[in-house]
Amino acid sequence: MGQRFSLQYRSESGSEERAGRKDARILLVEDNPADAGLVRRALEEHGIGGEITVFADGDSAIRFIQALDTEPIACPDLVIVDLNLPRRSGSEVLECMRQSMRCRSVPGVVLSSSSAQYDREAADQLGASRYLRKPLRLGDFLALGLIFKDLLERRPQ
Amino acid sequence: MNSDQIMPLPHAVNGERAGSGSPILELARTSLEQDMARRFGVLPNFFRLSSGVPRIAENLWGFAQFAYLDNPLPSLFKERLFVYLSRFCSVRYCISRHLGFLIGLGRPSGDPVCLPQKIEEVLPLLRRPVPHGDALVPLLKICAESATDSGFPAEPESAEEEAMIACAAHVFLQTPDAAKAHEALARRLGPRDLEYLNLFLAFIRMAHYWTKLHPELTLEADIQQLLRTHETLAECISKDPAATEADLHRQVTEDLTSLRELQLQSRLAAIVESSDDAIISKDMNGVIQSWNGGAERLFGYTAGEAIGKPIGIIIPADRMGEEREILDRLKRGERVKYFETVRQRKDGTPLDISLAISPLKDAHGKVVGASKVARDITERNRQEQAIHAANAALSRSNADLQQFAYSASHDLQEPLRMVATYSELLKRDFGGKLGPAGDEYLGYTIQGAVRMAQLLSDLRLYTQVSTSAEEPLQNCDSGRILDKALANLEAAIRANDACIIRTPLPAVCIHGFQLQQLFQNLIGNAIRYRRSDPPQVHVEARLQGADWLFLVRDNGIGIEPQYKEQIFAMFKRLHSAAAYPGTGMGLAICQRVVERIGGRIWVESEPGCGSTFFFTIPVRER
Repeated sequence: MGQRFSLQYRSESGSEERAGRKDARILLVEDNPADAGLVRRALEEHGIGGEITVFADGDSAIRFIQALDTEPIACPDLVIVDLNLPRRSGSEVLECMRQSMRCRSVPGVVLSSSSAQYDREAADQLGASRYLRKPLRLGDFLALGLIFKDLLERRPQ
Repeated sequence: MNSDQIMPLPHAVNGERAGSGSPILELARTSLEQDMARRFGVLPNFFRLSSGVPRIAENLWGFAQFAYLDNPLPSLFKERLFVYLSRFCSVRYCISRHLGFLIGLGRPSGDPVCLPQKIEEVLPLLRRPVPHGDALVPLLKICAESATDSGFPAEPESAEEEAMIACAAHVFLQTPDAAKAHEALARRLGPRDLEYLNLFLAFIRMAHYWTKLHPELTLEADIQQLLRTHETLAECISKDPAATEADLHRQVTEDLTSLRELQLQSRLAAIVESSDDAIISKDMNGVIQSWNGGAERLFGYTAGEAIGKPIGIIIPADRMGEEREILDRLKRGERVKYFETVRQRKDGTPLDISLAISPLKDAHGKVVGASKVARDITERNRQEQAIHAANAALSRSNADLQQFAYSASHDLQEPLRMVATYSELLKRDFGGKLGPAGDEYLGYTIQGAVRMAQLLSDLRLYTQVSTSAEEPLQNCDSGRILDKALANLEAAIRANDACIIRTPLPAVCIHGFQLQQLFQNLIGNAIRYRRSDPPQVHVEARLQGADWLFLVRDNGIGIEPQYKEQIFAMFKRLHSAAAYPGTGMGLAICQRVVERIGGRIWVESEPGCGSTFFFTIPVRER
């Protein structure tokens, strides 16, 4: 069983009301809690409120995505995957998303420490919306929130 | 042998008895010839050869009297010596004539009181070989030691006479023992008589030579009749194995040649025997004919065991076909060049050997066998395999090391990123709550982490230079690659108000990304190590021989000459990171990039005025 935990939070500014949208549901597949924390900070930084569901391995994330088609679970608005994951890789998670009825059109973002060209190309082919390298500097990492926000704002209402 | 005793012939008269009306004197046409006839008792044809030039005949006769007839050595000794030595002249005149004098056809040494010898007394002289080697030793001793008062032996065929004649023969024939023989004669005769003997030998030599120069010379009638009458004598003279001087020389030459061949053969045999290589010969039936010490050591069979056995004893069963093919080729006279194969030892263990085989031919050029030289290459093969294994291990360990460096720099980056970002987060969330020292320390932590991250990133670039070396080189437009490098440096160029001057650049064969690293590092350095003036950087390329020579020239702080080489070493820095930031990896990466493609990189600089970095890229035909 994959580790599963929710980070439910409210933005201080109550942006969901301003944006007139319901809270964002974000699926994060990341085995490093430190990076999960940074992603949360990045979202917070740009006033994105909602729920982050974190899977710490590829296998449990895939089972969750597959379950979406058969069970009445809310579909995420954004999926953020690391590539190098226990059991099944981030690429397999992306592949599973493309095959899922409900998840097919959900934007998928790769957030990886790899700078290898073939990782970028593989992500492109699996329909990833963005390929983001995990930045070294805090400022750069928090700036990723802008990209997440942009993708969330484009989601169909 | 009494029947062989000669009777005076009608025309061979004793000089004392010869009157002016004798037939021999009637032959004498001149007073000179009359003198000769009177002296010898016969008129030798020898002295009539130069009758057309009286002065020659006169002087020849004068020499004959002085050196031979009037020579104070005993008459019988002189005549017997003359006979003996004349056996070694190819012209049979002297031997015949002087044999005649000796047995009474004329007078021995023209001496009227010297009694002639009987034929049987002369025969041993005609048959006695010249003693050599061990046979000569006692004669030298006798000659030198058993001196009589006069120095000369009284009796013909005495030991002393035989010794003296033998010694004189060695001197006359100039054999290798001539010097010893001459020494023995000198001891016996004393200087005066030795000189008379020398004179006599010279005359005999002259006489022989004179007869050779006059093929028209004929034997006198008395001698012709003697040889017709006495077959034994005739045979001794005509079939003397001492034969002719020419034959003797040929003999000597042949002896020497065969001696030399023997020496050569024994030297060759010694070489063959001492060779570490196995040297074997076999006949065309594959039967072993010779087997040297090397073959004994290599194959384990002694020469005695191997010679006469088929060569198959050293050939493994599965290689027999090879041997048949070799024999076929040898029959065609072909030489089989070195090839590597397997043979076996006596105990059956296989041997890796290299083999060369040559046909052996007889005097008519027919192939009668083969010689083979076999060298044990088991050890060499083992060493080669060991080298290959070591090489493979080294390549593997190199690749492992590359992989390790790459993975390490990559994997270390991850925890480092945690340290860096969370230190910053700490500062952001709790800055000011840690007190001034706490903030300072946190600042150092962040600085250290960021710097280490740069180092790891450069280390990864450095290892990438070699891991990407297997990828084929591309022909790239170095001008466009410079564009990319400058785009990456744009912030630094703007911040420093730097001016980049460039000439058109060629297409070169290199990994594009690596050339970009090269430009980026060199131009980045040119801007970073600036003086107060705005940085000016020139980039240009020239064709120089088989290389493109690139120059990156700046007006920066320059480099002290003693550091011109060190700066290319990994992590080598000349300035503190605080004064001029950097990892110390930039030029090491540049050097690695250039050297991987067979180029060179170096710097020329004047401290305080600027530096010029040069690097070459070989021009490759496409």
